[in-house]
Amino acid sequence: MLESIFAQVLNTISFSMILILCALGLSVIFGLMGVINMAHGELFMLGAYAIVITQRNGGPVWLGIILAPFFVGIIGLLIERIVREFYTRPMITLPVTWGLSIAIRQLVKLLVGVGNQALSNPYSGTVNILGIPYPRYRIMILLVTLIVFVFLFVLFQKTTFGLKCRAIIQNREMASSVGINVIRVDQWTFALGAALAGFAGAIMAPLVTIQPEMGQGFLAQSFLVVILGGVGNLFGIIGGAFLVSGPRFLLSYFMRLTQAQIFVFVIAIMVMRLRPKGLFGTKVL
Amino acid sequence: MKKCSVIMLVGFFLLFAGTDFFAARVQAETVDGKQVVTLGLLIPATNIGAIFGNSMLNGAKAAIEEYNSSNGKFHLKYVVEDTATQPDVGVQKANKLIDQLKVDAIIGTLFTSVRQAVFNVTSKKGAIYMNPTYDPGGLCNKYYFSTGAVINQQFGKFVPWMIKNFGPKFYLIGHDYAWPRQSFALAKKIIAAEGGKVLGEEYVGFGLTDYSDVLRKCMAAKPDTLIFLIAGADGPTFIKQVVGFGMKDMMKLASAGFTELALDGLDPETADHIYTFADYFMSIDTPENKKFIADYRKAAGKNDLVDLFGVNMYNNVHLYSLALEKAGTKDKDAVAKALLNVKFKSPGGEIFFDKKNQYAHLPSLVGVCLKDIWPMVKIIENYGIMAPEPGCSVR
Repeated sequence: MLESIFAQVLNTISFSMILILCALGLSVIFGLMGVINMAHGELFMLGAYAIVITQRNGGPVWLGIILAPFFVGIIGLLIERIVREFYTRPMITLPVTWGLSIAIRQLVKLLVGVGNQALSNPYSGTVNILGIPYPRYRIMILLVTLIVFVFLFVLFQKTTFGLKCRAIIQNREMASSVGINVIRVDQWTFALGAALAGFAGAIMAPLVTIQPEMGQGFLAQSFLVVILGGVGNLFGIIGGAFLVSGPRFLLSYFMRLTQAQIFVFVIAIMVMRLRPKGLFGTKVL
Repeated sequence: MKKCSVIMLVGFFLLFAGTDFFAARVQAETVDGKQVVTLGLLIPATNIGAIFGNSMLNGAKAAIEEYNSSNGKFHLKYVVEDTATQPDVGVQKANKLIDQLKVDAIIGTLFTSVRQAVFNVTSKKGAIYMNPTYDPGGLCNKYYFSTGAVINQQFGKFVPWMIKNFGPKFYLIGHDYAWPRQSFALAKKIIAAEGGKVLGEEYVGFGLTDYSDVLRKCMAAKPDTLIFLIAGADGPTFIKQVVGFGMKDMMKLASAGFTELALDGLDPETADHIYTFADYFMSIDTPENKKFIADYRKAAGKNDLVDLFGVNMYNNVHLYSLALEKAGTKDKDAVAKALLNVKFKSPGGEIFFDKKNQYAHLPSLVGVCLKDIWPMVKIIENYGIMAPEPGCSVR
């Protein structure tokens, strides 16, 4: 009993880290720019394909993981060029990015194929944590997520770029009038968000089915995490992720998974009713 | 605003005019003096079933090509519609195929939910509908023909085989919809009858990205065998995580419908030693299979894989064309009657429809995935042709 509960706690932490990793890119783009990026799932998928293509051409998996964020970041820059026309009307970004997501999916189907892609796990096997065998790869994800999170925290809190970003969140017009090149910052923010999505896709690739539709499942979860955690604050994502995964994993021990998932949504609705800004957010959604 | 409305009106007009024109063309043509028979292929080209869509289409194309190049009385044509692996879309497309495009038969669909929805349409409208994939049974209508294995054809031999080889304790994990639920309901009866025991069962939604909690419960139960029925693109996610937790060392893994196309999304190491049961594997050694794979690859591509869904599209088209030849007309009642009296030497063995329930008598094979021959499956037991028990009858 105790062992099983401990195992579920481990699962909660591991899944929360996965959610954080997947939601970071969305949070950066949504939180900082107000753009509802429906193509987030496809950027995630492109990251996974980057690693597959690297491996297929004889490159090691770690090289794919390094290349993925750059590749997807560049795609992000291209998408930003289209989305830029609609920054003043955030609701329009929803259908625009949704359309782009379909186009990207179809393009991948045409270029690479509709089927699943095989990828070997570079870090397979389990380690024992207090007597419970746990996959090594999941522990690596935990560490990687922490590193990425610290990197983003430093980027937004300690660098000039971060300062400019925060100024833009608070007041776009004022930031522009004090000489911040808002367009340039938007561009880099979008590319960063895309790169993070691509990185998440590459990291998750050995754990999930790699196929053109794979991003869809992660999009909804990432939105839930961002909305629950609140936008404009990176720590919100941690809160959001634990709020989504905690109840699911702890309750699914006692009941059926579907019932536990229903509870997650009940809790989510209650949180949004009581805290319209999300757990740590700075603005009402 | 006014301008916009006019453009939209013209657009709609063109759209409808276009489909009507198409519909008229489909009916009227003859080729080389032969009457054209049109097959409506319902394929899951998008969403969760998408990985099987192409192979299903190419399986059908291969058979159509074979028939047209033989000296048949008719000329087969086809139109393709995407069900998006969704029941509501399936209904729309089935209606379109029957009412607008006036096809002579519908062949296709994947997933029980979609099949059930399309079955309702075809039964009501009296259209021939041939199903190529797993079917929990219970669908009987004089125009409905299925080459999908029903549950007794999937588990009837497999369960006793697993009890004998792995042990009596089972854990069941499946997607939360008709096929896994109905399959497990019958599998449990077979397990109990054979002296086995089910330690737990769990149903999960589509598109789940993390199975760790479900897997933990299974590991705690310590079964001899985990039977999983996770369909479509979710399959590899599930297996990758099962293997990630080291569960292969704790129990045997078995599934029905774990096919070459699903294996293609796994690396050889992960796929190694998963046991599976089906009515067709690419590795089956028959002359019919060699011909099928060659013709399939003409339609699909040099190294393309195919699995039981693609093969059953092929089989259905052949059974239909044999019935056409026998009936000598494309009249649906004559063809439906003739379908009960034809036999086809399929790549897996000679198959035919049961006269009582119109489900096919199918081969039954136990296979194991091995990393050395990935993504092929090694056949370890061949039980020959097995009769269906779908739990309903037409006559």
